[in-house]
Amino acid sequence: MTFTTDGHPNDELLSAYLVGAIEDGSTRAMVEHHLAGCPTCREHIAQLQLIRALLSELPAPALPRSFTLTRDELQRLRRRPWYLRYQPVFRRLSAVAAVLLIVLFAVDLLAPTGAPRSVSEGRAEQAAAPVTAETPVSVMSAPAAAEPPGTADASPALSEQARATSGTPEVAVAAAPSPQPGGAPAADTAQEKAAPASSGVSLLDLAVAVTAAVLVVALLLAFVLPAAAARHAR
Amino acid sequence: MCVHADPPDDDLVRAVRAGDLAAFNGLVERYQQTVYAVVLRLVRDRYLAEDIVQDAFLRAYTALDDFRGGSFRAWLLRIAHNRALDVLRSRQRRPEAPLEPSGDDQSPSRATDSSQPSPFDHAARADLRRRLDAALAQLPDDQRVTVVLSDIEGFSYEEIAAITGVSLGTVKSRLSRGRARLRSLLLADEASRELLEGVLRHVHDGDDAAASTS
Repeated sequence: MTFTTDGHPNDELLSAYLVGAIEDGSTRAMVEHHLAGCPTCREHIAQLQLIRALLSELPAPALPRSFTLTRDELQRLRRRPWYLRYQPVFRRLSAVAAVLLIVLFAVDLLAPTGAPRSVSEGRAEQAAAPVTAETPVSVMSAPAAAEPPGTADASPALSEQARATSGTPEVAVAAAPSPQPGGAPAADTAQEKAAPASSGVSLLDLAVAVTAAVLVVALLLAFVLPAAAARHAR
Repeated sequence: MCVHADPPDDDLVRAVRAGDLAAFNGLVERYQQTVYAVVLRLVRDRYLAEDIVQDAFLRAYTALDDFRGGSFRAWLLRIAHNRALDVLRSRQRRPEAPLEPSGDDQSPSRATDSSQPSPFDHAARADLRRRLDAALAQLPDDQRVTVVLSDIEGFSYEEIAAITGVSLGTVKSRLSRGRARLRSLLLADEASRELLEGVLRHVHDGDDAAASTS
């Protein structure tokens, strides 16, 4: 709210003055002072004043009918479906779940660099890498040998780790050919065995899964179902 | 706004929540005129306005649990305003015909100063009012609804901010831009300009009592 470059109060200032809405005393005094010496602005104000008066005189439109609701309508409306009654709750829940999911992802992302939960995972990977690096020979020999149960379990797991971490496919290809039918499950169990401290990670995964499920359900109940019902009603 | 010794809005809202369904109709009767007037000026189509108002009251009833106190009429108007904007957005164009209030259904509650003695002034004012009504139709939606709520329906800035979902500063600037636009629209039209100046001169020349209607 200021004066224009040629010294007159601008529209906003005049509009505020019109309804006595200039809170700042010195600004009001400046406008009054200007109006006292400026017929143009006095005319301007008078026109705005008349317009405002005419607006308040505009006849109210006749109601086409009364909008009161009948008892039947009210009763029927009051019995609305449960998901509509709890729609605000589901909306809030979906927002909370979305935020939580983002937080969980952030924790997951930041994990290798230093969050407390990540330490175990990082250590497990660090531990796994040197083992694979220094034991290609023994791994190569493992399938040829009489397959002692312990090494048979461990070798595919280690090769998996190697493929994932150090990215040397030759080692993996060399180690993998042992045609074990249960190779993949064995690798899974071995991985769990190899990193006993990884329970923190799987907890995080579980939390992500649960939060995502809650988010989907909340979104369905808060938005999709009411929208579908509304479309159906029409 | 409560002219009679009727129960306050909050009491009626509480009664509706407690299961007194008819109490809601008390609120409908109290506000239907205002809601309809605002919606009609926004969408400028009688049938559309009727549908929107009906829908707004139904929504208000089913969503009454979401009302968290404060100004009930602002909350109600917000529902109607949002519904009207939805409808406006979904329609590409709308008729620009000004509302012609059918003859003599001028509500007496609006005649704030019926102390206009001169017949010229009376006729000129009526003519100018019609032109102003037409000019109002040319304002952008946001300015128009703000001017209607403030200068026609007498809502406070705070209520208008709540209804239209903008800040107080935005309400004030929309209001001043809307009024300035109305003035320049009237001044741009030769006949309207003469009427405006004529009525003003008449107010000045006439008794000072007529001028002090501000």
